[in-house]
This record gives sequence, C-alpha cells and structure tokens, in this order.
Amino acid sequence: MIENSKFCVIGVGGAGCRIISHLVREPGAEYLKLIAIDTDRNGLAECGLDEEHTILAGEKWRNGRGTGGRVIDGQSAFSPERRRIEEMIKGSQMLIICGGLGGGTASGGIPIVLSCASNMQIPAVTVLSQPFAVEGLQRQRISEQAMNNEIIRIADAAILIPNDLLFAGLDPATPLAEAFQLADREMARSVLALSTILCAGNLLNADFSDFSALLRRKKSHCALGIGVIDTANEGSFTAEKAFEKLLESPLLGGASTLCDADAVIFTLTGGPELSLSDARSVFAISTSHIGKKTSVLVGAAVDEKWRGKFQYTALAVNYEKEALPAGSQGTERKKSKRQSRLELSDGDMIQQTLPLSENEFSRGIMEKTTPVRWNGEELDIPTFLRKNQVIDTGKDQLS
Amino acid sequence: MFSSNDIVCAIELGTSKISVLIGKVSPDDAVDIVGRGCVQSQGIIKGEITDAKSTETALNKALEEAESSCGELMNCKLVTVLVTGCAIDSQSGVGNSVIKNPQRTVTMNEIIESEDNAEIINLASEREIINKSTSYYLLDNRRVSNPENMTGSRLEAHVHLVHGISSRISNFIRMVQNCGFENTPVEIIFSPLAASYGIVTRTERENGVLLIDFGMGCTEYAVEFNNGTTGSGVLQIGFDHIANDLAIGLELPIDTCRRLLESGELAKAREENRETIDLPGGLNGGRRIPLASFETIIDMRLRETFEIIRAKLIAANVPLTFGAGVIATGGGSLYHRSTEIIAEVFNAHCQCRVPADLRGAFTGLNSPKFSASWGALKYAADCLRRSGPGSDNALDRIVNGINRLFDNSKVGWRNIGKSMKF
Repeated sequence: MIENSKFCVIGVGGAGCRIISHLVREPGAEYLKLIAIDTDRNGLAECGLDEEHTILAGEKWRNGRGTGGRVIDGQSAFSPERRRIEEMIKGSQMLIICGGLGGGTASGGIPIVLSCASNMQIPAVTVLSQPFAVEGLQRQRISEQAMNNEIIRIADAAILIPNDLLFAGLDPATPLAEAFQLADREMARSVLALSTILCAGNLLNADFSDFSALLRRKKSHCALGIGVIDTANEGSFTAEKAFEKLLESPLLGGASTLCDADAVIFTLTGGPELSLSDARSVFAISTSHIGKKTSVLVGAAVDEKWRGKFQYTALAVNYEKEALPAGSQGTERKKSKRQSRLELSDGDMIQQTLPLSENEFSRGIMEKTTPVRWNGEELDIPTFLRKNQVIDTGKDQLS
Repeated sequence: MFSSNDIVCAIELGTSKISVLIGKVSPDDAVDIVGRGCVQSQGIIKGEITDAKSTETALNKALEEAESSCGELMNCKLVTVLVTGCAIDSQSGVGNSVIKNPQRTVTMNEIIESEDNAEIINLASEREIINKSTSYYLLDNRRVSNPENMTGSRLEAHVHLVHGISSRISNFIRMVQNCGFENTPVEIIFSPLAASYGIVTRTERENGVLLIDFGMGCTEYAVEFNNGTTGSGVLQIGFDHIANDLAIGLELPIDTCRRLLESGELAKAREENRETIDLPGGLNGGRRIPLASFETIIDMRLRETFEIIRAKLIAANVPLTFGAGVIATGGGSLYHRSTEIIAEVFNAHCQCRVPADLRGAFTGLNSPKFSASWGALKYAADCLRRSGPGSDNALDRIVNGINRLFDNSKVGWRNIGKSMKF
C-alpha cells in the first residue's frame, strides 16, 4: 500500500503542464503531489501551481522561451536541473510522469527526469501522448526515438496515448479549442486513474509489487480505459453499465485491446456504498472478455471522496506489441526488435510480428500491379494505413 | 466521301466495363445512337490493358452485342478509342507564325501553321502527342479567342498538348484493330477530354470548369477556361481502391465491399443514423462493424485522391478558379460522398452530371458511367463531318495518331466545341 501523499505526478513540457492544470482542479487529486517542469515560462505560469512546485528548466540559457521543438535543446535545458529535480521528488514512493512527445521539452527532458528517479530508486511510470498523424513525420520520429531509445529503457512502465485516439471519440463538429481542452482533460483523467490503480487496495488487493512485477523492465506499451458512472445522473451502479462505459472509453481502443493484451489490470473505485458483490460482478464480466493467455490483476478501492460516483479503469499491457499499426519508419523499429530478441531469450514472451516497413503493408487486389506513386508514397496501400489511422473492425462481439 | 448516315463507333476499354457505342451521323450536326454493347471488363487494371487475350475476348463480346442491336457495324467509317493511363501527361506548347499576306489578315493557313509549330516540344523519344487543344491565341500580344480574319503581324498559339508513352498507347489501338477494324481509321482520344466533350456546356467552358471523371480504375481530370483547355491529366487511383481499402481495413472479402459501395447501403445507414453495419454470414454468425469505420476509410481515400489532383494542377500552374464549379462524372461520382468531398477540397460547387443530349436508342446510357463514351461518339461524328470533301486523304492523316482535323475549312479541336450546340 502506498501512502497517498507520497505519490508524485510530474508534468513535463507544454502538454504536461496543461495536464497538471487540469489535475489541480480535479477533485480526488488533492492527495497527489504535483510538480510542473517546462522551458516555456508562460506554460508554467498557467499551470496553477505555486513557485516551489515548478521548475523553469534552462532558464538562464533559454530565457523561458521554450525549445522550439528541438530535442537537443530540451536535453540541454534539463541537464543542469538534475539537482533541483532530485530534491523535489525526494521522499516520494512513486512517480507518474506525463507529457506530450514530439516536441523538444518532453522528448528531451523526460529521459533525464527518469534517470533522476532511477538514481533515487523511485519507481516511475510514464503517461505520454503521441503526436497526431497530421503533425508530420518529423514529430513522429522524434516521439518514437524518445520512446524507444530512451524512455522505455528506464521507465518501469510506459503508457502511450496517441493524440488521434484522444480525438476519435469526439464529435467532428467540436471547435478545435474545445477539442484540445477535452483531450487534455482525458489525459489528466488517465493520470488520475493510474494513480488510483496504483493506490488501490482496500477491498481486493492489487499490490504495487504485483504491478511492478508485471511491468518492470519489460518493453511494454499500455492502453488505459476509463469508465465513470455518476449515480446522480445515470442511475444506479450495475456491473454491465460499468463495463460498457469502460469499453466506450476512446483511449482503450475497443474491446479487442482487452482481448489481445498480455496483461490487464482492472481497478474499481467508488464511495462507501461500493459493496463486495458489486466489485465481484464487475470483475466477473470483465474477465470473461479477455483472452485465455492474459494475466489479470484486479483491485478495488473505496474513498469518501467518491461517494455517488464509480470509476472503473482497465490498464491493458502489451509486451512488444504496438497498440497501433506501425508507421513507415522501418529502421528504428527493426533495431529495437532485434535488441529485444536478444534480451528476451527465456521464452516467456510471445513475439508478435509487426508491420515494420512499407513492404509489409498489404495492397490487397492491387498486389501484383504496377505501383502508383506520388510524393514518395505508394498510393495502392490504403490511405488509412499510411496515415496510421486506427480502425475498429468490430471483430469482437459483445452479445 | 462523307455523307449523312455514315456510321461511327466509340469504344471504351475501361476497368469496370467495355462499352461500344455505334452512332449514325445525322444531317443536323448531331449523332444518333443506333447500337450499343456493354460487357464487364476483363484484363484491364487501373485503366491499362494487362491481359490482352481476356480483353480481346471481352471486346469481341461487346462488339457482337452492339452489332446484333443494330446490324451496322460493318459499315463503320471511323472508330474512336478512349485512352487513359500510359503515363499520360500534358504540357503547354507555344507556336508562332508571321502574317505575310499584304492585307495582314489572319487566314486559316497562319492559324494552322502556328498550331503546328506549337507541337514542336522536347518530348522523350518514347512519347508521342495524342491530342491537342488550343487554349488561346495572342495576336500581336493581344489575347483573342478566334483570330480568323483579324489583322495583325504575328500570331502566337498557346496549345495544350497531351502526350503519352507510344508503346502503351498502341496497345489500345492494336486491340481495337484486332477485333475487326483493320481497315477502319482509328482515332484515339484522351478520356477526360472526351468526357468534357460529352457533357460540358459552352458557357461552362467559358467561365472555367474542372471536370473529374472518377472511374473504377483511374480518375481523370480536365480544366477548361475561356473556351480552351488549360490542364488535364490522369491519376491511376479509382473507385476500386476504395473497395480495396475497405477489404484490407475491415478484413472483408473484396466483393462484399464492392457490393456495399454500389448498393447505397452506407448512405442509407448514415441517413437513418445507424451506428453499425450488420454483415450476416461467416463463422461467427455475422459481424457488426461500426459505420464510422467505413466512413473513415472511405473519406480518407477520397480526400487524398482529390487532394492529389489538386496538387497536380497547382504543380502544373493551372489556375484553380472555376467560375462554373466542378463537374463530377464517372461511376465513382454516384457515391454519395464523392461530390461532397470534391466540393470541400476544391472549395467550389460540385455536381454529378450525366450525358444530357443523348439521341437515338439511349436507354440506360444516361448515367455518368457513359459520359466519356458519349463524348467520344460525338467527337467521332465531328471528325467525320469535318473531314469534308477528299475525306480519304484526311482520314489517312488522322490514322497517324495525331489529332489533326484540318482541311481548308476547319481549325483544331476547340473550334469543334464552338460549332456544337450543347
């Protein structure tokens, strides 16, 4: 069991600070210790924390202006701040680091924060967003390199949330500003849910050591689904409702994620009226929907603050398997796959084949025809594949 | 010798269908359809012939059907064949001529000379010019649309030239000749120019219009402005690519996807606000796929295709002002999202159009799938009519594959449009 006040959430970069600003206002986050680190002075000013919990990295050198999307600037801004970072996280029992990959501050700075944490032997989990497909290949490359080369080696677990998925559940007519707000709030909720998972334990025990046993040092990508029921608005709690809400969560990517995951951690949080039978029925439904080879951890927690509300979260862990079809950057992925093949020789991992490069994308009926090319892309490959769009194929029937 | 009641034929070797239209040239400057044959295409992928034998069989079947419907195929005086693919590209050429006669009036000779000179461009040896269309003239640096009988000293013709790879183009010609037209003159025409000929009105041609022929194998486009063609081209991505995308993305058989697209079921589901499409059958007793998945895949492909066309036009320096909007035709334009997405991409009004001035036995032909064939038939009639007295010589010249309809009384492709009543 972890004492709540020793639970630390660090927001790095522009996206990270926005997430922190949502968390500051979110009920149920009071017991978290919040820290924000950015190179942009304005970002820090808006996050709502007081001075002593923020760090303006690289102040003397960048003058509070941000990194302009350059990873190397992010790294050089954070290196001199190591001591301050270590001071701030001292005494914490667990770190959650959140941010958005693709720019300079987060992609460059998060690995440094992680190394501070590992120096102090504090377990660290990252919740990061990946840039939109339309933001271009450059940002995606930065995001992938940061993730595969740096973060996944040091972090105890990495939860990647692609921005496209954050927007997938929204009405297309949503004004852009509102859409970004909603996306940030969804990320903040994920962080909160994750902290709940890690802190859970009054009713059924999912110990932190179980959690870290599942995740430690193994290359894994996670998907997090959150379902919330407010009994004031939506009627009483039923197990089916809770599970349905969970599956509707856009970040989970559908029921197939649960089926295909290597491990799933379910957590149910509620007010004092949450009963053991409620928890058991929810877990019964959930476990009937996962694959045979999936390991499951269940946990439940009761808190006064959650009176009248229920939150059901699922963290689906995939070892070595991307939650998305891979993009076209073949070489980096090939390297990491080879590396991991060497590391995991004990045979308890199931190697999945990834579509590594354009050659492995399917062209369907256009397979044996002369390819049509434009701007370096092969147009016979479906557009949605080339643009990394996730499609729900509806292959898993719930009825 | 040309006479009324001559028979002309238009053949389209498309990816979804092979169609043969037979027309009788009528005295009043038009053509009546007297016979037609239409069969499912074989051996043609993305607009080009990949299996000559199957295509020949299918074409023969279509010709039989056409002949049995009217019995006149034997007397065909001229055949037009639609060509597409073949790395067809377009370019503008400029040609000059000096007005030498003492009155300094522009006669047909000068016009023909300037247009001939415009054809002299640096083409790779493997390419040849298929069609040309005059965009505009400059008479002493002043822009005119028809310089005949005007006064000046120097005439410049700006001509839109369409060229393609000779060997691939000759596949089309040889295919038609092998099927019974060894002795008939064969004229080739680039598909979107034929479609434009078939369905674009004169007013639209003046105000600026973009024509998109969205077929099964390729998407072709032509831009007309001020009565001249300013841009044209082909992208070998067609409606079948959408079915392919769906098949890959949703793991469905390709025929199911084609059927779903053609039947209008997706449009209906969207109207009824249904969330899923139910597909019966299969091992699990059926699948239920979210409608949004279909729409995402289809919309992404449609949008990308039209955005590429837009980019190609920009790269060719074709101005994108379409006073008369965008006209969509071809089988793919029947899909409910095509015109909507074209309108968004080009920021202009887009309508789906069918051949409007069909005459004769045209049941079932008033569909956007036949715009190009109809245009080719009209063009064949005009070629024949323009060849005038001494027609055999003119027809011999036509056979060389260069679109030249000249004798002393006519000018280029564009003027044909002028004299046609739409």
